[in-house]
Amino acid sequence: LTFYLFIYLFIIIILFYFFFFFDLLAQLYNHNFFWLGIKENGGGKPYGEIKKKIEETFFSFKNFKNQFTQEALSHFGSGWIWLILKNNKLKIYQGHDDQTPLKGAIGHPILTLDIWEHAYYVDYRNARSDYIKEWFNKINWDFANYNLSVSLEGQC
Amino acid sequence: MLSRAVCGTGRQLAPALGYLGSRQKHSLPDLPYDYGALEPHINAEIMQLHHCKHHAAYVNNLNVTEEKYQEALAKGDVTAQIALQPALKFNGGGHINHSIFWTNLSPNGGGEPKGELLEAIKRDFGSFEKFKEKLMAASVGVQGSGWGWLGFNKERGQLQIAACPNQDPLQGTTGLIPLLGIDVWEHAYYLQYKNARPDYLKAIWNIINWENVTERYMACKK
Repeated sequence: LTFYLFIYLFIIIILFYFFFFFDLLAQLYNHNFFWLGIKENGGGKPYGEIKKKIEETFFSFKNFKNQFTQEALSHFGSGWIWLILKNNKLKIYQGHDDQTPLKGAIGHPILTLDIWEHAYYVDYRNARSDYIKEWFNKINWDFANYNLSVSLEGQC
Repeated sequence: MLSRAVCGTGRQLAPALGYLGSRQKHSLPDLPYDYGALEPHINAEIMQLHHCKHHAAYVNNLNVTEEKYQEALAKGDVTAQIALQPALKFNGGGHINHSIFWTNLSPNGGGEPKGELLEAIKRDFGSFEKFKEKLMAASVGVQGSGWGWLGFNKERGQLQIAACPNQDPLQGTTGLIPLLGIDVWEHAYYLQYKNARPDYLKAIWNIINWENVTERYMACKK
């Protein structure tokens, strides 16, 4: 009897995790990913594998910056803007609120930008575009290359 | 006597331009009080940014979207019309919601409602305290950006509490008639309360304009 009770409780906890804790766990993941993707002396032009991949998909770093900025500016409400790898191609994914590309296997995350108002409001007030510009000056391209190498390994 | 807070932008178009469209453009309503009038509960900087930047942007973008929608209608381009729906909902909702919000607040607000509205609150929620708890809980519980609402359910003739995500307008998405809205987008409180949304929600009860909420309620019942 106690065995079945244990299984029952286990299932309840799993369901609880998915429905009630998902947003907390997702936000924990998202924020960790965000911190790792920025650094004090970051920014500049991408190098290594990520540079190649950006030029493959977006033709130039400038074009990538423009597109990413547009996606980040046009998102309605809270969210995260992700650079992901899917089918060996880079893509930009707009996650609403706490959505992450991990759920539903949307793609492998390479970089992310938090566009919840709390991420920029104190420094930039409503000027999300100034915040986005500054984020490009802080990108940790090593982290992007690391994520790329890990996700490419998983591809057949 | 009361000087009203105005923005540099969003004024009514001069009548001469009226012929350009078959509809009037939306404009940013003036606040019925100064930016600093709601202090210390909501500070002047928040009010100014909220009104002059955020609400103004919804108004401008709504006008732009409606222009495009008119063109799409004229061309019979249904695909384009559908593609414009999210922008209409977002900016239209933002304009509606904030227009209601400014009237729901007052420097002379606070306390409790009286008369028929108070009776309805007691009838539908048990007591004013219970109603307050419910509305606070709904507003705190919004994940991401959105609004907490006291609305009126015309079919049931009852007051109802609801929460809407993003700028989804209450009536357009749920059918409830909006009486009192609480903006819980971070721009509504972050500069003053940082992440402490519950503190902002506690403070806002001091500036609720119950006269306005009552007016809206009485108008529903007709």
